[in-house]
Amino acid sequence: MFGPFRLTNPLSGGLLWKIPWRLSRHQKYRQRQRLRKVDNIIATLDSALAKQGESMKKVERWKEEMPTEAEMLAKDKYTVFDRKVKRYRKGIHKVPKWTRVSQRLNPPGF
Amino acid sequence: MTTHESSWSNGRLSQVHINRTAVHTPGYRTPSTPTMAYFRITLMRSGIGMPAKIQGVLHALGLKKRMTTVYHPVTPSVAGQIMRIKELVDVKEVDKALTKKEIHAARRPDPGYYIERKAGAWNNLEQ
Repeated sequence: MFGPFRLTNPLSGGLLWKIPWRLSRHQKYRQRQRLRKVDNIIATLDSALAKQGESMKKVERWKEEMPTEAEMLAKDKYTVFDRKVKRYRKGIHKVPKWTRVSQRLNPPGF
Repeated sequence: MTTHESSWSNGRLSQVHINRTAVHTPGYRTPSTPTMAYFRITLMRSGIGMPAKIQGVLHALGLKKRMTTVYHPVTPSVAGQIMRIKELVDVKEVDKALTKKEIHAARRPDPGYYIERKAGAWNNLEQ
């Protein structure tokens, strides 16, 4: 019953990870900080290039298309679209490497 | 300029041609311009497990370990590279690129003492 060889679901069934269904408020806080950090980098790139009299298509496109952290809905900050999930939304923490990728836009209507 | 023209007519288009375009292109900056700006890029998050393209960009910028700091001039190409790795790095615009030695010296803490005189300087004291 106890010890390293106890019969639990993760040990007897192979791969079974338990990822909580929702983010904790501290995870949400850190997610917001990460979003803001990326926003700041975009702003830095844009202003630095503007000072040199240059511009870049990728930066311009990001500014045009991507909402900033303040503009995003809570739904988009903490959840992502998934066609296989009931009601088409899952927590963003289920995305592989979610703390190191940008995932801001979701299909319209979902 | 007349000599340049003559070199053109002779069919020897080499350095002369290149220099001329470099000087006359609008918006062209020579690297020694005093208003040079740099991106100070620090790798905050590791690239381990990221796609090969992203890891390649990190390597190209000279970011090999976490907390490495590199300086690159403000150009669209460098900005494009930063766009690829924007989730992993910290970016600031600075006026001056520090060398590795200068970065090391800046990180060194205050020793907490100062040297009044060197140990071998007794002769100077007596005089």
